[in-house]
Amino acid sequence: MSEQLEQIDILEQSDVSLLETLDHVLNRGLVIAGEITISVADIDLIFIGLNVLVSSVETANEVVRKRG
Amino acid sequence: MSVKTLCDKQMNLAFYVYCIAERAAAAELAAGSLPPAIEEDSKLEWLSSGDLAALISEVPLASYSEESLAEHLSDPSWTAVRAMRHETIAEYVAKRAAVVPLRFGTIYLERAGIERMLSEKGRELREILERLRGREEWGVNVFCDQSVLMSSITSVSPVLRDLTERAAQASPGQSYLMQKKIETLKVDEARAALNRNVEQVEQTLGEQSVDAKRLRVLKVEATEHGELKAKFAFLVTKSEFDAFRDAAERLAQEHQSAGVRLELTGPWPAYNFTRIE
Repeated sequence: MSEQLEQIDILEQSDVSLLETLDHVLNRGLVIAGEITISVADIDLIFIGLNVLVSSVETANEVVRKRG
Repeated sequence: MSVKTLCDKQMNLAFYVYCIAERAAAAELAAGSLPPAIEEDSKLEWLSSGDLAALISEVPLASYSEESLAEHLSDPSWTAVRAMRHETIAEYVAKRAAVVPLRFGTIYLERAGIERMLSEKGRELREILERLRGREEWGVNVFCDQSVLMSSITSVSPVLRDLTERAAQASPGQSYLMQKKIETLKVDEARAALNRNVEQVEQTLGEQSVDAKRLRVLKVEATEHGELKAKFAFLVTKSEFDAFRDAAERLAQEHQSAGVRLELTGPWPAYNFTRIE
C-alpha cells in the first residue's frame, strides 16, 4: 500500500479509536531513555491537525465523486 | 567496535524499540509473521539478551535523528501513521505473550546499546512482565448527557423535590426567587451526582481488576465529544474479563437514567501499567 493510501486508511478509522491509540502510544508505555531522545508533540495539536486532514480528504473525495 | 556496528553507522541506521518480552515467548513469535515495521521497508527482529528480548527494527537516521524527528512529529499524519504501526505491533505481541509496551520513540544508535539496556534494567523489566502476565488493559470512558442528568436530578434529590413543590404553591414573586434558587441547586446537585457516579465506576470496576488508573481527559475529547467526563484504565486478568464486563454493563444500566454512558475500549497492551509500584 502506498504511504498516502495508508494514511487515508488510518485516518478514516473512527475518531475515538485513533485518538485513544495516539494517547496510549505517545503518552504512555514504559519510558526508557534511548540514545536519541524525543519530545513528543502535543497530542491535542496532532489530533486537530488530523481532523483538518480528514476533512480535506473528504472534500477531495466529494469533488472526485461529483466529477465522476 | 564490531564489524556489525561499524556497518550500521556507515549505513546511517538507528534502531527503534517497540516492546520487551521474555526470550522464550519471543522465540515462539517468528519475526516473519509479525505486522509491518514502523518503516515498511525494514523488518522486525527480536534482539535478545539474557532471558529478555526486545522487538526492534532498523530506521533511517535521516528521519529519526533528534532534529528530523522534531520536524516529523509536527506533521500529524506522519506521527499518526507511525503511532498506529507501533500500536499494531505491540497489540500483536500482547495477544500472544506477556509484554512491556514502550512509549513511542525509544531509539538507539547501536544494537549493543539495546543489549546493555536489557541487562541493566533486567530486574525491573522482569518484575513488570510478571505483573502483566495473563492480564490486559481495558479503558473505560464515562460520558454524560448534561440535559438528561439535569432533568433527572429533581426526581432523585429530596431537597429539590421539596423546593419545587413549594414553588408551585407560592406567590408569583416568591416563586420567581425560589426558581432561581432551584436552578443553582440543580447545577450543584447534578455535579455531585455525576461525581458519585464516576466514583462508583472507579470503585466497582476497581474491585473487578488488579489495578486502576484515572487518566486525564484530553482537550480535544472535551471539545469534540463535549460530554466525556472521566477516563479510566483497568488492568484485568484475562480469565476474569467476563465478570469485569458484566460489572461494567450493570453500571451502565444503573446510571443510564442519569444520562451517564460508559464506553469500554480494549484490550490494550498494558501501556498504563508499566510502572513499578
